Amino acid sequence: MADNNIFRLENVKVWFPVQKGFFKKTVGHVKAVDDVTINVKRNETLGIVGESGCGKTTLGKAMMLLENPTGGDVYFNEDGTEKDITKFSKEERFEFRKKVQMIFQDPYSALNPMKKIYTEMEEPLLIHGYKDKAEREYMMEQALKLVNIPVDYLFKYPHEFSGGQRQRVCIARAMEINPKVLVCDEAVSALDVSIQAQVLNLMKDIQQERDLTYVFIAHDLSVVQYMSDRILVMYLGKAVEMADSIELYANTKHPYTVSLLSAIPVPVLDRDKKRIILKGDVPSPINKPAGCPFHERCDRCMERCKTEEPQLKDVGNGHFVACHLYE
Amino acid sequence: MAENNVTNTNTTNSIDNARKYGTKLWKKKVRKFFNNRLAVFGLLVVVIFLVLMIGAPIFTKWDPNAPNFKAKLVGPNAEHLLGTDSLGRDLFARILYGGRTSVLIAVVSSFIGSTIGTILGAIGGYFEGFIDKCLVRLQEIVSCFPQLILVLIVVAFIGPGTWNLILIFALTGWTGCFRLVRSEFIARKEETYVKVCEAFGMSNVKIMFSQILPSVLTTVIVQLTMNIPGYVMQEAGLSFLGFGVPMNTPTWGTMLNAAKASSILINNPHCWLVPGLAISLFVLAVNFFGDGLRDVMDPRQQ
Repeated sequence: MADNNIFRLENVKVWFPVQKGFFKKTVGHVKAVDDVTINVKRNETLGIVGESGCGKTTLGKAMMLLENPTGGDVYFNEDGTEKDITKFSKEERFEFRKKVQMIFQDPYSALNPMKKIYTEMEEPLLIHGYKDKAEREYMMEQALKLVNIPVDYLFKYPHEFSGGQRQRVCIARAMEINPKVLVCDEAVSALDVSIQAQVLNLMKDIQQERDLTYVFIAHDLSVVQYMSDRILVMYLGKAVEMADSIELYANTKHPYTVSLLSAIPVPVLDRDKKRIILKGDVPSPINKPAGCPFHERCDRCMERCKTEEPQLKDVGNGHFVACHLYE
Repeated sequence: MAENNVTNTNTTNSIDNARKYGTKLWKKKVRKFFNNRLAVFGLLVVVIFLVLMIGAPIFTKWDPNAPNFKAKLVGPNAEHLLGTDSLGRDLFARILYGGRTSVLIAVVSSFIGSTIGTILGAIGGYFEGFIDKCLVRLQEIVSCFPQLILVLIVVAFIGPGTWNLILIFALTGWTGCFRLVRSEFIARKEETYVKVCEAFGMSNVKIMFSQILPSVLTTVIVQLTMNIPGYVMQEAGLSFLGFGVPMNTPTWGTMLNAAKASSILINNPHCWLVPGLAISLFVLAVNFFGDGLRDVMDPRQQ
């Protein structure tokens, strides 16, 4: 089981200090990611969903070492031995960069407007020591072939591309150094729907071809359902539910997930589906409520929820949920 | 292995082929620049000035420093194109040779100032924190310090000279560029493409200078050209006061200084009109050129 995990996060916290006043006194923390314990299996697609500001992106960045976790450990297991990436030396970090890559949300700002695609795609290869020009160009062409972009486009500037093409260039650039894990941070949400489907299918094909592991961050539930093998639901920096995709949609446990899934629009007329509309707003991540982070908005809240924080527990069938209702 | 080699060469061929038909942004920019008439006029005047200055011995037979007491204060004529000054020195020759010093001071100090400003601004803007705070304070101190006092101190201790002036201009002139580059860096380091480079393991220095700097550099180059006329004027002003370049070196400023006697001001207007016009024309031309350059280079206007 443990061998099967490419990533294992243990009690990962990413807190940002809130500073106030003349002396920049730290008055509190934004707990973007708070005590998250999850695992990512080899060659699977783990979807991460949640509202804006629930810490999805920060969690992805922590896995990329773009954000240093305030606490907890992130284990990365590429060749059978688990290593804690938060304790990596500079050289180890550099090696790690080859294996885990990220696709960012906004393809319009992910490419440097001053540089031709050729330069953009050549840079990662140069950094990682591919000295032979012919070899670099061969790898660039292979990566572009993967995303169906003609080689002629290498000598164009980003502003000559459409959003979908840019995102595909970004995927090609991330793919050319053959990473093992690809963290896709809202990779398709900036694209329009027809292009979304195109990019998603492309990503699925690439995954099969290259034996990739995806961490797929999104807020669009239908996209996540389409892409993921397993889904993690986050709320206010906490992991509230994690299960196989089919299991989660068929056998939803956590009240938050229930209301989240009830919001998916269904293209069927006369369908009598009850929507659960949550009361109030997401509490501030600076002053989190005591007990279960969701208790203020939960319609099945019990006395116990207000004081005691539920932990993520296995309720069978690989279904994890953090709720007192299922204990 | 052999097969691999074959695909390799094929790839290179098709990429080389594509390279020929790639977008040439430079051509577009040059065309855009030449559509701007004022900018072309500016460029033309600057080029004419530079050609005349560099080839000064070809265009005039007179020595700018040789007095000729037989022909003092003569007006423009066939022999002396722009007339002579109170010592009978040919004004045309002095404009050309003097322009060498004036423009050298302006260009070199603008260049050094911009380089210092860009490097410090890049460091401050990219790293922020303590280093940035120190640099901003330093910038504030330097820009508050009156330049004239600094000039007086240097003149008093070392004496007037071309390189002293350049030193002062460079040491006080980097602040504008610093602020510009720093703010650009603060804005641009949050761009996703910088994060992408970080994710690829690119070093900080490389991100600063090969990713962010090129897009900032266009504004710096424009700022640099816009600074040049200011330095020409300052040199003229300081030399007029006698704090700049020594009187025996011809510059546009020392020429004005030499023409400040009231009898010359009234009776021989060509003595001050000629260097005055040279300064105005050059400054105007560089400004037009800089404006045109900004319209073309500013990435926000693509």
